Amino acid sequence: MRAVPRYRIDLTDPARCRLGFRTGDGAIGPMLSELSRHLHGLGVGRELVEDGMIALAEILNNVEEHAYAGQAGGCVHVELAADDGALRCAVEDLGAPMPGGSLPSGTMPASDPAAPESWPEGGFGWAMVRRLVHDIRYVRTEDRNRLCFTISPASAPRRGTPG
Amino acid sequence: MNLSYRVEEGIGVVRVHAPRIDAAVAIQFKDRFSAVTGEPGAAIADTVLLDLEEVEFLDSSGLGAVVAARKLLGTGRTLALAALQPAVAKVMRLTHMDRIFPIYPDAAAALAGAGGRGGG
Repeated sequence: MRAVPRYRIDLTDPARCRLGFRTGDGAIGPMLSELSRHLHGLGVGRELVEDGMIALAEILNNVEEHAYAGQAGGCVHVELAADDGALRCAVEDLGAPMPGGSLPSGTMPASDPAAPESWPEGGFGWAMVRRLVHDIRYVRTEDRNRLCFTISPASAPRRGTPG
Repeated sequence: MNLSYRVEEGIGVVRVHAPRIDAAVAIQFKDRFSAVTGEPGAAIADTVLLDLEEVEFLDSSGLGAVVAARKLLGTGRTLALAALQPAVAKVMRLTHMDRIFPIYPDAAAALAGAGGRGGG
């Protein structure tokens, strides 16, 4: 186990977190755990932090697995601002553009309770992101992907609401 | 990834000793689950309970691994989940997987349910 940090997290301005990591080093989990503790410490609500961490985990995994196609060493930057009861995030990378230049629609895969052998093992990622965030925008500029989104209590799915 | 396994009240209880089941460990989870439930004696348990008390976070890859684990058991056996922490419960709700997995508040509740079924 190396003691070298696998990511950097700049909290000079506590409400404007700046994070960075390189792909292929297992950085996402430890980085999001530290970010989560920091946001709790700032007094950000538990549900908002949960929603943010679920959405960021999916988006960052997507960057690792698709934009950088699983290759190690790709740069990823995250900015996260916590204010007005919302989390505003921006994720940037220098990997491949989104297929078709736009974000996946995020249809939730269906599961027949009576047929476990047919249950989906994937396709949940973007479906969850779409249900957790709003104001999501994707811009490709030259060699850079930039994804911005907001998480607020208003964007959170309510218990018992269909879809 | 550390998974422990015991059979209690006729139920195979798999406990995950890790804070996250995510993309980084999803394949390990599936492999370890397959190994522990495939050990001698495990085949007796028609129901396997996945005790997630120590797991604070599950992402979509981790969820896919849990579904894969369910499939490894085959159609004659059941996988139930117990002790979902708040972020894990949220992922299960968002994906509607809470509608297809039997879910218990904790392992004791699941085992009590099994005991209560007794002669039935």
